[in-house]
Formats: sequence, C-alpha cells, structure tokens
Amino acid sequence: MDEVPNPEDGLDGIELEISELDLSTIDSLEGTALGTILGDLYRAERDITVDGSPLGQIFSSHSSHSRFSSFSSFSSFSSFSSFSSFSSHSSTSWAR
Amino acid sequence: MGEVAAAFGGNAEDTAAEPFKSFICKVASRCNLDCDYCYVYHHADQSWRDQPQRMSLATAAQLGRRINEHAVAHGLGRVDFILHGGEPLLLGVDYLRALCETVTAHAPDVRIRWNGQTNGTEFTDEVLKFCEEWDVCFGLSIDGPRAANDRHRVDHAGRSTFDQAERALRLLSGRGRRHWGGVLAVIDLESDPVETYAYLRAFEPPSIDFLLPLGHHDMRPPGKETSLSGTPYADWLLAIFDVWYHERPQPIRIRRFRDVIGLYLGATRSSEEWGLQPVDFIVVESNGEIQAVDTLKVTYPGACRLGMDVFRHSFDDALTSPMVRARQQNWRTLGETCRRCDVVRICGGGYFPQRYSREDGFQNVSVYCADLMKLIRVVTGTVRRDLAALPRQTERRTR
Repeated sequence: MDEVPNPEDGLDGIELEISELDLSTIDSLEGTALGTILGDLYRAERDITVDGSPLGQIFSSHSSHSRFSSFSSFSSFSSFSSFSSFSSHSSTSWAR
Repeated sequence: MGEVAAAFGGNAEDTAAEPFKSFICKVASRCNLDCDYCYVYHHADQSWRDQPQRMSLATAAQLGRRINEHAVAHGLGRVDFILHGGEPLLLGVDYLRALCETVTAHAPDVRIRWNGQTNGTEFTDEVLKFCEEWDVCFGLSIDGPRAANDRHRVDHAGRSTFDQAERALRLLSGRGRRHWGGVLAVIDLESDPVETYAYLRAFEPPSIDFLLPLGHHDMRPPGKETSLSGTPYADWLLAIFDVWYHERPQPIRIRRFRDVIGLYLGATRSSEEWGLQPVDFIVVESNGEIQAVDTLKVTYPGACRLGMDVFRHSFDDALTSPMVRARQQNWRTLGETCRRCDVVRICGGGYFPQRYSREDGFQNVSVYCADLMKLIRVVTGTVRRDLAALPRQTERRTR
C-alpha cells in the first residue's frame, strides 16, 4: 500500500485530556450543539446510544426522538445527585 | 472459518458477552433504486441474488421466536427491529403490517421497537398511517439537493428519484415528524458541503448522518485513489461543522460530530463507526440467514456469512461465531499502528470495512485515517477551547 498515513503524524494538536468540568457553569451552553451533547451524555449516563441503536452506516434510529432532547430537560437534571456527583469526577477517571 | 477468523485478526478466544439488542432484518432483498455506491448490489458480495424477494411470514415467525428467546436469556426488556432491505417499503403496508404482527405474536416477552430505513420513493400517507399504528421510526436516505442526489441515487432506468425522495422528506418533516429518525446522506466530494447541509437542514431533521463512502485499501474511495494522506473528507465535513457548531439554537444532531465530541467527553458508547465498544446488532437475511454487519459486503464475497440461520441456530449461537466475537472485541482486531495510537479511543480504528485489504485483512489503519485524524483534531480542539473558556468555579466564588 502506498502513502498510507502514519496516524502518529496527525497527533499534533490533539489533547485527549480535558480539564475537570464544573457543571454549574455550563448553562451558558444551553441551546448550543455542545450543550445538547453534554445534556445527552449526562442524561444517558455516558451511553449516547441509549435512545436508539448504535448502527452506523445503516440507519437513523429512535435516538433522535425529541422527547429527551431539549436542554431544558437536561437542566432540570442538575439537582439529581447522580448529576452533581459527576462533576467531581476527574477527567482521567471519566475517560476510559 | 479459520481463514475468516484470520482476516478478522486471529482467534478471539473469549466468549462474546454482549447480547444483540438490534436486529437488522432484510425483509426485502430487492430495491427499486440502483445507487452506484450501494454495498448490497454493487460490490464484491452478490449474495442478494440467492435471497427470496421478501421475508416469508414463516421466517418472520421463527425470527420472532429467536428474538424472544435471546431477550429472555439476556434479560432484555426491549430490542430494536429494523425493517431493512433492499427497500422495505416495496413490500407494501399490508404485508409489513402482517410481518410486524407475526414477529410480535412470537415474541411475547420483549418490547419491540420498530425502525426502518427507506429511500423514500414509496413513502406515502398510507405508510405514515402504518408508522402511526406500529410506532415505526424511519430514517430517510437522501444525499442532498437534486444535483447531489441524482449523481448516484437513480432508478434502474437511470432516472432521477429526487422528486419522490423530496416528497418523503416533506411528509416526514411535517405530519410524520414523530416517526422520523433522520437523514442518511453519503458524502460526495463534488457536492458543496454547506449547500448540502443547508438543503437538509431546511427540513429540520432530528439527525443527519453524513456517511463516508464505503471503500477500503483495495477499493479506494473517490478522491483518495492515489494518496491516502490527503484529507478531502475531513475538509468537506469540517465546512459543515463550522456552520453547525455555531448555529444556536441547534436542535439537529449530526451523528459524526456528536460521536466525536461524545467520545472525547467520555461517552462509553457511540454509533458503530466510532469507538471501541462491542457491536451489539446482527443482520437477518430474507431467508432467515444470520449474518454479520452487511456493510462488509464491500470487502469480499461471503464476508458477512456466519453459516447460521434462525431455523437451526439461536442468536446465542451467533454470539460464538469468530466474526461476531471479533467485532465484540474490537481491540483485538486492530493492527499494531492503531493499538499504539491514543486517538483510537475516539476513532476506534475507523469503520471496520474501511480497514480491509486482501493482504492484511482488517488489521490496517482506516483508508480514511488521515481524514479521521484531522476531523478529530479540529472538533476536539474547538470543544476544548469552549470548555476552557467557561468560568471556573473558583472564579465564580471570588466574584
């Protein structure tokens, strides 16, 4: 195979560690793409396929049903203990 | 089978532990479209020719029994059943209704969530009524505006199918919204990315999945024929990312970006094309054959074949197949280069079929490796900057 890239050449600029998130500050992300994904993550306990199948090339699933998708519903989770306990996780323990 | 196991990266000795939660059921083996990139009809595996045109109700009944058996054995309260093809709507709603009734009648102990994927040409008010009756959620395949769609998605006479697909788009985005999973669009580098996104976005789909064309090292994708180090697909996607990410409010999930961001932020599962989580779905052909993920049909004839069927085998039997075990233990199937790369926890080594070569099986980097690396670098860099800009708790306390 010719010209197969070396993935390590592309690692520059990718920092996989993220600093600890303070969830009380992320309300400013409400309505943004990032805020929606954060909401999905916390609501689904990090399984973003929970509302649907993880199928890739094949189909779009129920995951896109809107019943859980609004940021406002996510915001209301913030009083849950499981949600607030997350904020104390370090980035390293959160990463696999 | 030993040869197959070798292609998948050697022997996966442990028993697969992840039950199947999604069943992609080829209820129709034929399609009324003749898309030139289709992995079912236009690639190495031509096994569709041996399949009955539709799944019989006897097969559907046995499939229901097997799903029920699997769900009970693994304590699954709910599974996804995907009406897939070919084009499932070619069966007509009466037959689809009978099929759903048959499967349900033979799977009394599990809740079945109905999904489907359609090219939209047969998606009518009557189909929508069927969706309402059975709470079916359909994904629609359309590549973008007319010019983009008609470059590939034509019928068997080479005629445009855009008007029919757009009619489905209007129906699903209107009265059918509750039954709309979103859009699948295959990337064509000739199409303007922002124009493509703007067209689809106007219908406010709940999700869009921009698919990388299926290709591998022996069948390179368009734009990567002579070099794999360029990043035309990353550049195409990033043009959309730049618009999508900054739109507010943003109700549309673009799965490719969502998966990268989700995995970067610590998601344990994502869609099949990303990450290293076990694959928890299985394909059932029209004749009841149990097969591995059907996109493998782009690699070599018989790549999906497990030698099993729902009449003689349970889905637990399928879990013991070397191919299934390999997909459940994704780490084992990676080549050395990917194993050494930190980014693998996001890209998962790239989509499985896109790693294939006759010489090394699936133990290559993805044919899209350079694109994935650039996409991940830019997307995660953007997210990282935004998160870093959020006020810290200590700063708030001092105010």
